[in-house]
Amino acid sequence: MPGSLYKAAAIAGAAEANEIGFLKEPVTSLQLHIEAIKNLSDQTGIPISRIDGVFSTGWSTELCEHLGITPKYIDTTAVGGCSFEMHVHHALAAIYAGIIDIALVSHGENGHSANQLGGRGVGNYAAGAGQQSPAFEMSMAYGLGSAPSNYAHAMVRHMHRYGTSREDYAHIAKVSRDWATLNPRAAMYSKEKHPFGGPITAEQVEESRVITWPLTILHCCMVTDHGGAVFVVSPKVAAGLKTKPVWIAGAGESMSHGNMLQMEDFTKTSARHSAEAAYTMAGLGPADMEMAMVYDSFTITAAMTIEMLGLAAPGEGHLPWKDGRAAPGGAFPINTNGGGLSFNHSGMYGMPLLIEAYRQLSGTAEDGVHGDPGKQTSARTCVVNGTGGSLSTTGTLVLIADD
Amino acid sequence: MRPATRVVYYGWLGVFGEDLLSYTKPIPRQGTHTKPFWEGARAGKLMLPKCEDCGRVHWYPRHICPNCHSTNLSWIEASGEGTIYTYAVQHLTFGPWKEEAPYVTAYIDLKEGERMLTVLRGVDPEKPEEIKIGARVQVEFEPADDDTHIPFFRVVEE
Repeated sequence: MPGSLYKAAAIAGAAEANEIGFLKEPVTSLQLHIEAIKNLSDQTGIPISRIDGVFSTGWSTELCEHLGITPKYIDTTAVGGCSFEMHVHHALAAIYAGIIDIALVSHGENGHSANQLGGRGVGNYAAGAGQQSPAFEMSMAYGLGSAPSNYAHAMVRHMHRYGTSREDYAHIAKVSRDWATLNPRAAMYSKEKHPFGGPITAEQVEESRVITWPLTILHCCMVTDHGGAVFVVSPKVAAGLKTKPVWIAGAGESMSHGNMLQMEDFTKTSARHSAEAAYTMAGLGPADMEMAMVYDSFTITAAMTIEMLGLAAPGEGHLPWKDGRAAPGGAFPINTNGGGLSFNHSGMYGMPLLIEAYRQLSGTAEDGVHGDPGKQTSARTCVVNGTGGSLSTTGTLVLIADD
Repeated sequence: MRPATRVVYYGWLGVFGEDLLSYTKPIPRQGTHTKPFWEGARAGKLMLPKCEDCGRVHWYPRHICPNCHSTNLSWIEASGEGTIYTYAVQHLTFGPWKEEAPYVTAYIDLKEGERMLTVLRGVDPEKPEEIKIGARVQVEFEPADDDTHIPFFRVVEE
């Protein structure tokens, strides 16, 4: 008997870059990708603008940005030469699931030209165009460094548009620290654990050292060590486990750009689209959520995300923290582990978001080792939102507790 | 060979001079399809890619129009005028830029549409509240090496 994915999708066309082989005029991997995609579009008559899933070995954000498209399924599986067969498999599953209709699987690799361009290993396998990207070429001269150097521009625009002050956002850092003081695993749990740990005030956030104005260091997440994992299982498997299941009611993903040069509106992220997909899948809305776990790379990231998730009006993303609703004991807890600001942030914070959401909804949010009570809430639903890149990509989950 | 001369920026007062020191900050590596931009920059012109089919400009330079997906692309000379979309002041920075910190980075909305990143000139990084979103700016070019003149934007006095 065939499996459920049997004939669930088909390959509709196949094309290559204009010139292939040992090219006399060196080309970038990016150009090879784009030529092949254009030719595929011409061959099949499928407009590039209709592509809604993109699969590549690490190139997907860059390809989408270059093409000016924002698909709702983004895959970058890069496990060597067989990656493309896997991309087809993943696309089949996504199409079978009804998430997408038109999947692009793309390849571009300037194995020969790279030698002539003096960048062997750059812009090749799984690396994106890197220093051969035109976006990099046109932005690398201007003294931007790590994440805060770019995110601060979004904060300034957001403050300008809505008339908010930096102090409004300082409450996010203060409240997140309050949560961390209830979590013995949090890096900033106490003064004993870290010299800068323990409670802080909004004033202290404001007076701390400037990293990129208007972001002071306490508006920024930490850089720590973290490891984490979760299981996603079928209902049948879930029924026989010792642990309580937390159900994935909805999921969505989106992107708006790769490089902030291409971010049309610095006050909005694609979370509004990924959240819409997740809420729709769940048959639930923001009003049904009882808590939230959102990526807080910076205070502004958390505030903007809350707005995108429909949990606050535009320009009022800071209010749940400022008025105490997001704080311990508040009506709508947010980032109950202490967040990337005060719990842990190793660089990619998506996994800690998932772990805390699971713990809250399974009733295991109190610290298992130390037995400290405090951060467990009564929430039965949670919206989780991760933000990647430079406010570039977003993934939203709607999770609900078991019965 | 005589090293490239460079325009020296002495700070927010906007005093300019010229010397023979080499440009110390990162210099872009020119791409395989961006030559018209850098040729224009050497001549003091800001060149933008434009789609011949839909008529729109785009930034940064593409292999394909991100608006209509035509590959019939050309270049136009832009006015070099724009306005500040947003900005930030870089205090903690790395490498050669460290010596210049604090400095103001900004995203500029070009008169022709689209947005460029820059280091803003003619502003005081110690008084960020005085920088105005929407303020008019004009492009200027700084020679970094013989091939590469880098565009920067300066606030235009009203």
